[in-house]
Amino acid sequence: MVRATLGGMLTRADDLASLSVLDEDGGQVTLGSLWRERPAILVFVRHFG
Amino acid sequence: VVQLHHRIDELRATGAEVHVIGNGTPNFIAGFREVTGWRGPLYTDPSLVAYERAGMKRGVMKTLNFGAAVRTLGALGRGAKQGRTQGDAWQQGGIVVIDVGGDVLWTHASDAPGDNASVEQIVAGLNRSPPGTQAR
Repeated sequence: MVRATLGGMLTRADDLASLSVLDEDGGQVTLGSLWRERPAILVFVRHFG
Repeated sequence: VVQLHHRIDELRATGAEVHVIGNGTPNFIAGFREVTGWRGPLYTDPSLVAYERAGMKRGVMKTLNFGAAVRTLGALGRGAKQGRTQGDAWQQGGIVVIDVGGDVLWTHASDAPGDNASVEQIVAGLNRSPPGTQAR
């Protein structure tokens, strides 16, 4: 897998775009849909708690 | 998340949306909303694959270190409370700001608990030009 990085920093989100996460009903949401129409701020939290 | 929750309007004023991603099972999402008051988009990545590809850090020593312990004790002393851990206790968090089209504008991968980005840093990241392009 080739990661788009510049000086170690992620520069493109292509690797993320195809991944799915789960919503609260357990439904799959494609990450790429989150920045299709407006910029996205993805906040990865350490854990739920 | 609590800090972002209080200043969500500032972030949305930039035209961006804030999406919170956790790593427990989906049935923990309701409890997370209750504890944090977060009402925005919320998802979970139990596999941690998105965390890994986003460059988030993971490890026992990143979680258990002196600086984190001091910050945690300070927060608890100020009245903050930590709920029961739901998810991977060794996984660190962070932020990835992505423009329409998939350019990553800014990232912050936490080194340890309490190593959080500020709202000002996130807004500055949103105003940054994609790598390899001229400033806006």
